[in-house]
Amino acid sequence: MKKTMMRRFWNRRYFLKGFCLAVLLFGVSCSRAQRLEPLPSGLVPESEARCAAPFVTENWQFIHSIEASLGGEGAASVIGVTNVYPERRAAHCVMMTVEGFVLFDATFDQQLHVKRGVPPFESKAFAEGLMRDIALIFFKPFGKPTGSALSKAGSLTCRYERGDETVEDVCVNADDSWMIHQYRKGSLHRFIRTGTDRATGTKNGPFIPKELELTACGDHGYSLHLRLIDAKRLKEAE
Amino acid sequence: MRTGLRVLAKKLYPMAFLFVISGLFLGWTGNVKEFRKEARSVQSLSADFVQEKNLKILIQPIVSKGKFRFKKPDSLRWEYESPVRSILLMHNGDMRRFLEGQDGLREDHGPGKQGMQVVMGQISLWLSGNFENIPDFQATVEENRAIVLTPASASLSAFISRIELIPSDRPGVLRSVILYEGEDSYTTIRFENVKVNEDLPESLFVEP
Repeated sequence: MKKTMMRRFWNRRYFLKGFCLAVLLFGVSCSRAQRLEPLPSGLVPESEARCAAPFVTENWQFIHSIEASLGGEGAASVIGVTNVYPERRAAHCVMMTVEGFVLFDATFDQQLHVKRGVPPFESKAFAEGLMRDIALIFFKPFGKPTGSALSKAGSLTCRYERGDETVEDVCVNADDSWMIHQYRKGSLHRFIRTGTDRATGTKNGPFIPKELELTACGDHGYSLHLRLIDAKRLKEAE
Repeated sequence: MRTGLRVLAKKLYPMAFLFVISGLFLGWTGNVKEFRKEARSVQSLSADFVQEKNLKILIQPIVSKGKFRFKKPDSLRWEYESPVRSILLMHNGDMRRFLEGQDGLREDHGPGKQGMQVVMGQISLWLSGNFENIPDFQATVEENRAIVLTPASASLSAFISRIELIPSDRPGVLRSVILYEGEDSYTTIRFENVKVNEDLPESLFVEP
C-alpha cells in the first residue's frame, strides 16, 4: 500500500504538476476556496510605495533550500539558486539535489531557455510554472494598484489587476512580513506568506525574508517552503 | 530517448556518490595491484568532508560540510550537517534518506532514492579492487597519480564529463574528489580527519 502510494506520488504526472515548486500547506488552505473580496477603489496614502517594498529593485542572487510537497502525500527537498533581474523581469534558476547534482537549469529573459532538465524536470511546463512562481515571489506586479486598504492591525493591502482575469493582492503587515494572494477568475490561485526574520546584513534593506511559503491551489496543488541560505547583490554582468 | 535519460538520471545520483565514497578507499598509488591490496585491508572508514559546489551562476561556491562513515560489507552513513542537514543510511541492503525540513528530520522520498539502492553493489566492486571493470567509465592515471574517470558513452558524458580522484600523501587516503558535470558545473569534495578501521557501532548505519 505504502509503495503504491509512493509510486503514485512520484508518478510523473503528479510530480510535474506538483513538485515543480510545491510544499506543505500552511495558514491559508486552498480547500477553503477563497474568493476575491471587494477592495475600496481609492488608494491609502503612500500605499504604492509600501506595497512595492517586498519586491526586489536590484539584481540579486538567492540560494534557498526548498521543501516541496503535495498535501499530505510526502515531501522532497532541493537547493535552488535564483538570479533575478527585476528591470528586465528576467531570471536564471538552477535546482540541485542537496548533494549538488544539478537537476534543472533555465533562464527566462523575454523567452524561456532550458539548459538542463534531468527527468522529471525536463518538461517545458515545469519550467514555465517555475518561472511564473519566481516572478510572483520577486517581481512587483505589473501596473499600479487599483485599490488599497488599511486594516486595524496596520496591514496594508494593495490590489493589482491584470487584463487576463488575474488579480494580485499584496499585503504588507505592520511587522514587515508580507503576503501575496493571486486570484484567477475570482478564485485563489497562489498564496505566498513570509516570516518576519530577515537575511543577515539586509535588515532595513530589501524585504528579503529568511522563510517564505508558497501554496498553489487547484486539483494539483502544491506547497513550497523556502529557507534562505544566502542572498547577494549581483552586478549587471553576472 | 526520454526513457534513456530517465535511466541515466537514476544512475547518476549513485554514481556521484559511488566515486566520492569509493575514493576514500582507493589509496590510489597509480597501481592497480597496490589498490587491491589497500582495498582488502580496509574494514571501516570515517572522515569529515567539505563539499564545494561550483556553478557559473554562483557568485561564490555553495559550501556543504558533513561526516562520512563506512563499514564493510555494506554499511554507509553519509551526513551533511550544513547548509541543509541530510543523512543517507545504507545497511543490509536497505537504503534510507533523511532530510531536515520544517518539522525536523523526515524520511525523504524524492528523486534519487531509488537510484541509490544500486550504490552498494558498485561499492563492493570497487572495494574488491575490480578496477578494470567499473561499469560505464574508463579509468586512466595521470602523471600526478590522479585517477581520471571518463564516461564510456556519449549519453552519460552529457551528465558527467569527468571525475578526478586526487590522492593524499598518506597511503590509503584520498585528498579530494572532483566531479565535473559540464564546463560550468563541478563539485569538489575534500576529506579531512580520515580514520581507518575504527570500530563503528551498527546504530550509526541504522538510526538518523
